[in-house]
Amino acid sequence: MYKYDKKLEFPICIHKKNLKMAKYLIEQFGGANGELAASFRYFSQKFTMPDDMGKALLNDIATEELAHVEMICTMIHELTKDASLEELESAGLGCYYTEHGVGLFPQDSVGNPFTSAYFAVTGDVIANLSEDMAAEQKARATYEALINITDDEDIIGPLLFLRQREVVHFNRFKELYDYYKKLGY
Amino acid sequence: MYFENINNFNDLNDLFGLNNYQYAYNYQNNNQSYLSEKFLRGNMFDNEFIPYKNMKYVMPKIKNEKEQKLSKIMESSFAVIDYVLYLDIHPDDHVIFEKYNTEKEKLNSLKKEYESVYGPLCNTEGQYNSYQWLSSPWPWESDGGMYV
Repeated sequence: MYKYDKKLEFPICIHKKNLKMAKYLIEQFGGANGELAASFRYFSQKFTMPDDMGKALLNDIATEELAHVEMICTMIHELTKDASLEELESAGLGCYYTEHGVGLFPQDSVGNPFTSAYFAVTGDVIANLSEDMAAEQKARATYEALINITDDEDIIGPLLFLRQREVVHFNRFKELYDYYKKLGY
Repeated sequence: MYFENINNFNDLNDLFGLNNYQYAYNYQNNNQSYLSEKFLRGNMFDNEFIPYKNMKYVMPKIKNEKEQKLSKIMESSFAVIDYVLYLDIHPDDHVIFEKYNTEKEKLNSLKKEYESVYGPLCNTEGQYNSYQWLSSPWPWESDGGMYV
């Protein structure tokens, strides 16, 4: 069961419209290593974790990732606010607009729609946790690329926060992985 | 211009904040230091913090009392979240458990104070009020550049 807090995990306050950045950022909403895939990868995996530590960690990280989905969507929503048709088209969002308007549709930055294949769930705890560790590192690398691409501090601030969360989640998954290896999994 | 920085992050421009990374430092030094560095950088654990290049964090631009109070709730709430992830794997760590308890108490009193002035943060606990719950802005709505 979930309950909703009427707040973001981290302050987001974007002053400048930036459609190109919105187009890049959508990768972290609906891309292979985005927050939506992360949240439901861990959510799905929690059901077959072999003990209580694994169940708790996968459940709790999945929950935090859902807050990250909300942060990324909020950023995209604010970056596209009051965009004109001409602006959308010149940022390469014409095709997106014809299908989705300025609604939040999970796809990657080149337009591939989100797929549950990104969850990459197996029934094997070591395979799952290896996948999770790699996913955190790939998301970290993507956040670094996104930070490189912009000079807007309103965007860089939340991206630095989200990038650091990938670092922390990786560490937790790594600890769990090592613990299970020691147990002989 | 910004793409050049990707393979160039050890040069002096980066160290002295002469390119886009200067933002991380500019906002560190203004008078809004009531938000802890641990929260702003997204990591409660000093030994685990890995900065990107020379960037630590960007201080959010807090504009009014409501934003200030909400950002303090975010700060405590974040500490609780990060401690819980750690305690999931290290349930016997009493030092972190104590820190968790302190932050949780702080979070509860900050929430209570905020809700009595600005309305509910949650629809199943705290001080719920139907009119205030549904009233905008929602967290994803920017209200003239304010976050909520």
